[in-house]
Amino acid sequence: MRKSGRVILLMLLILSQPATAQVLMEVPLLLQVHGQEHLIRAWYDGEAFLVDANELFQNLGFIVQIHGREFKALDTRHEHRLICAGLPETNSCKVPMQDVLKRLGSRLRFDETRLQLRASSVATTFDLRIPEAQQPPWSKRSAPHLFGHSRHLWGGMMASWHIRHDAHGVQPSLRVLSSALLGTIEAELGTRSAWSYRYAMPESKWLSQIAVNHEAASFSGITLTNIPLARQYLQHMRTFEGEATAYALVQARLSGELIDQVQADANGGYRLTTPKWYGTTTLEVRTQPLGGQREITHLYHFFTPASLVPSGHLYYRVHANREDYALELQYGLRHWWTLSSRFSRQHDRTDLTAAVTLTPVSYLAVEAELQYPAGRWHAGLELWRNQVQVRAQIDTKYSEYIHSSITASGRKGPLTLWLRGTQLTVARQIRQLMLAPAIWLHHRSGLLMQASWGIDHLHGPSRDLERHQRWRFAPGWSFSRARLLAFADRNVDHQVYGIEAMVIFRHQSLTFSAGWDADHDQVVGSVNVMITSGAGSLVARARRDARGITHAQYAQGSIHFGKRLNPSSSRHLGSAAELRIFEDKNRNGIQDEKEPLLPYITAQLSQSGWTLLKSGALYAAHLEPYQRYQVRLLEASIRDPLLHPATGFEFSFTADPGQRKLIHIPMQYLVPVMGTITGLDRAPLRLQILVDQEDTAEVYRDGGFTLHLLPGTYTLLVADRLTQEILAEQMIKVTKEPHHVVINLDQDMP
Amino acid sequence: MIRILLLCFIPSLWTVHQGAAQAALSVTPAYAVVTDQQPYGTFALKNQGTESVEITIHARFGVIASTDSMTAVVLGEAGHLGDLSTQLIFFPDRCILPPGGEQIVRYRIQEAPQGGHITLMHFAMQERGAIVEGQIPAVASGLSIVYNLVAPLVYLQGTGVPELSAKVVGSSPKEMQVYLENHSPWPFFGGIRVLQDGVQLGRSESAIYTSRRIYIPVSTLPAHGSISLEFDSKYTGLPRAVAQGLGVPPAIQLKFD
Repeated sequence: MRKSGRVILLMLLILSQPATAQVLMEVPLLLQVHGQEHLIRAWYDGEAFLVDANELFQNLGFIVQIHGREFKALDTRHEHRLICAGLPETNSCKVPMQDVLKRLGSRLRFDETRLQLRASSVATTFDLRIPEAQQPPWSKRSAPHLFGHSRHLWGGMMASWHIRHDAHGVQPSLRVLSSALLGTIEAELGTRSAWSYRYAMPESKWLSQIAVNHEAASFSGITLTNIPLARQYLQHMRTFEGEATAYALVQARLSGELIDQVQADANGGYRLTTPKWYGTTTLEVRTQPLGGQREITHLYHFFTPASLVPSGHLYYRVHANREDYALELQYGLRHWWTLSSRFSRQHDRTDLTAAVTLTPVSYLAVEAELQYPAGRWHAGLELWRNQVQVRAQIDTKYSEYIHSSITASGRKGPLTLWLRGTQLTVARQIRQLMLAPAIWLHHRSGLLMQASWGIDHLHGPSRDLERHQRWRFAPGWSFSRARLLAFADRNVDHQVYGIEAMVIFRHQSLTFSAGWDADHDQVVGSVNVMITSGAGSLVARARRDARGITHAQYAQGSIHFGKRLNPSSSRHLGSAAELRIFEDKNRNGIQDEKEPLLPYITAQLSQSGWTLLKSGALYAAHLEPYQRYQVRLLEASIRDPLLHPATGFEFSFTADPGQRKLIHIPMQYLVPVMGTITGLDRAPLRLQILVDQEDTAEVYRDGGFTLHLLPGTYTLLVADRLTQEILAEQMIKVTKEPHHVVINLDQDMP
Repeated sequence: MIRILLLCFIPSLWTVHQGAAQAALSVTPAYAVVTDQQPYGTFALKNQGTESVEITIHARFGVIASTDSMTAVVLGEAGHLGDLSTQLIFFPDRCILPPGGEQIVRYRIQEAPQGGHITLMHFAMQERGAIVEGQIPAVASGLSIVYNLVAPLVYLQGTGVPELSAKVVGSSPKEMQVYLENHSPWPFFGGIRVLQDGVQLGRSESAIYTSRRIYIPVSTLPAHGSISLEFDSKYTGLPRAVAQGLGVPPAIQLKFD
């Protein structure tokens, strides 16, 4: 009775309240955010707008949480709380637009008449999604490849020379690399003489090079291959998976450059796409949790040996000469697994080699090779991380011998550790072990301490045949241009205590040591002088020890033969490039006599740098042959506003071997053409100007457009972007003076 | 004379945000002074917003000057300074910048007579907007506000010394207001120091093309009597070579009541 009374009372109370109902009209709202548009649901009740907060905030880059009527939007710096209107709904929350605008302030603009919402930097996510990051810098760059591999009957020559004088007399040697006969000629003259001619096709997939070689007057042969000629290229794009806190922002950086950015999912999982080049790559993954917590950084190391072929690619190399022939094949089964084989026949003897290269983990490469019928096998392991490098090898032939070696180095703070060791077992009876650990301490203050110890142990069938120990301890100071050390050195045949010093000047360096040999009771020492000039470098060495005085001198350098002789102190035999930016007065694209170089215009060169020559040209040496280099002319360095590079501001070139590649950049005066479109029957932004159906120009909101053209006759077409319809056509003749053109859509019909 | 008074808010960063911060344009540098030794230079434009913008660039003769009550952009006159807009070529005069996009505007000054010359570079920014089918042309071009950034570009042919006159027009416990006029064809860029009995009370930096009301923060208000205004050539962003070409005006003695 009491219970039913309470129910009746409650019903009376409810019914006594005036009954109301909210009528909502659903309207689509266009949300414009950076680079994209979304339609989200909104409602209008005749007075105010309500918006679906779930859809809105997700599209703005926030993480949303709905608990009953409470709505939360989170990003790395903000937390916005709103109360949903009406009854709780699953995955939906209506909030008054005024509340949203109040929360987000001027970063969100609501246009009631156009039903548009426009957002700017509302969520941190959008602050970070910078446009530059959307075009990964590692991807094939858009810069047009204007200066590809070039062939010449005579395209120049680089010669590196070396003359050595010691107790054996004078030993000259000369290496020559020449771009000639549509290919490359390489020759070596000295103690052994050899030459080769290569015809290269760097862009070809199935035949990248044909080479004819001749060595030591004994044999000559021919080699065909499709192995890529450029050494620095992408092996594959790697998908990198990891875990972070839920919805964290994750960035991938290579050499400080942002290459990918994603947001972790609800479980914290994320996938990044990163490039993997040949050689070594360190990937930095930065994780920024939500709520303003501290950023976390992890480093990942990738090591890709040259023998690892891209997945699905087949490389071959065929070699034949008068005495033997061979075929090598390499096939990339996976991006981390390559099979290779070699078949060769020499003096009626056939050899077959099978090998495999693996990278089971990103920073470790393993290689194994088996030779048949020789019965020799070889295995190698190489590990590369930022502070640790290890290389281990084992080489064996049945029971004849086993040779193993290890080289390792590691670094921690000021300490560097090395370990070198080899073990050789011959016929299972004679064993030789050599072990040489070393430790260096190099403090920022310049303090240097070197300590090393070594053992050399030869063991025969029944007893030790030889056992030697050696050690060295040297404390002192070392700076970038000077070093002074005191040392104690114990070796097989001497025990020396002394000092050694090194001084490096701008073009000279001097190293000397002096000490007392306690085993032989005599003064020992050495001196080493190096002098470098633009034409070459000279090194002289002299040494006095228990065996007497020895000395050696050598000089070396290189010369580039082109239109001029350009000597260099290094033994550089790669390729070089010379950028000649000139004022193309007659607009023929060729540098004529009265067209000067413009030395004030500078350019950037990826992976290298330019030197300004006295002639005003830019020069880059030590380039990798066949490598593609990107060039960007710095617009701010062009003093004349109407001067424009005919090549565009960005382009790329291929470095040719044995050649100082000349790249001419004609700078031409363009004439401004100002235009106006009248008789508009549609929004001007829909329109586009086509110049001779090649180039395009945008139309501005006021119907205006601007072109910059060389003098000549052009056909301008006005096209509708949406319908692809040609609306008007007009021919213009551009002279040297600024030109004005009016295109009337009503009259200039095509 | 065309006198257009604009809200002369030219912040140091030269960043203007639209009402809802959709597009934000930055122009660097905020001003430029070039000489006959290097009669060329660049302005760098960057769209720091999230929407594409159209930018139209004009060079107009005028200065930033003060009346008794306010500082504004004055077009069509520049006191004794010459009109640089007729001697100037620049590229481009229009561009479209996507979000994050950058554009270099190159300029070069052709021959000009001896003295200082000025033009105000106007960077008019307008939202590019989305391409919408069915949008009528009038609406498309009308529903947008044009925002103007103004960067003075000054060219000095030869060297000279600005001639300044000054009067105190107001003061408060923490600052003095001084009205300075330039009577020469050489603009003044530098510091204005208030001294009394050899003690510096405050300093402020300013560019004075024709006239300028300067607010000088002071440590203490000077006592009634004589004060002096001394000038130096340290002006933020002004290259040393340019500062050396402009002489420092002599000190001005003023009465402070």
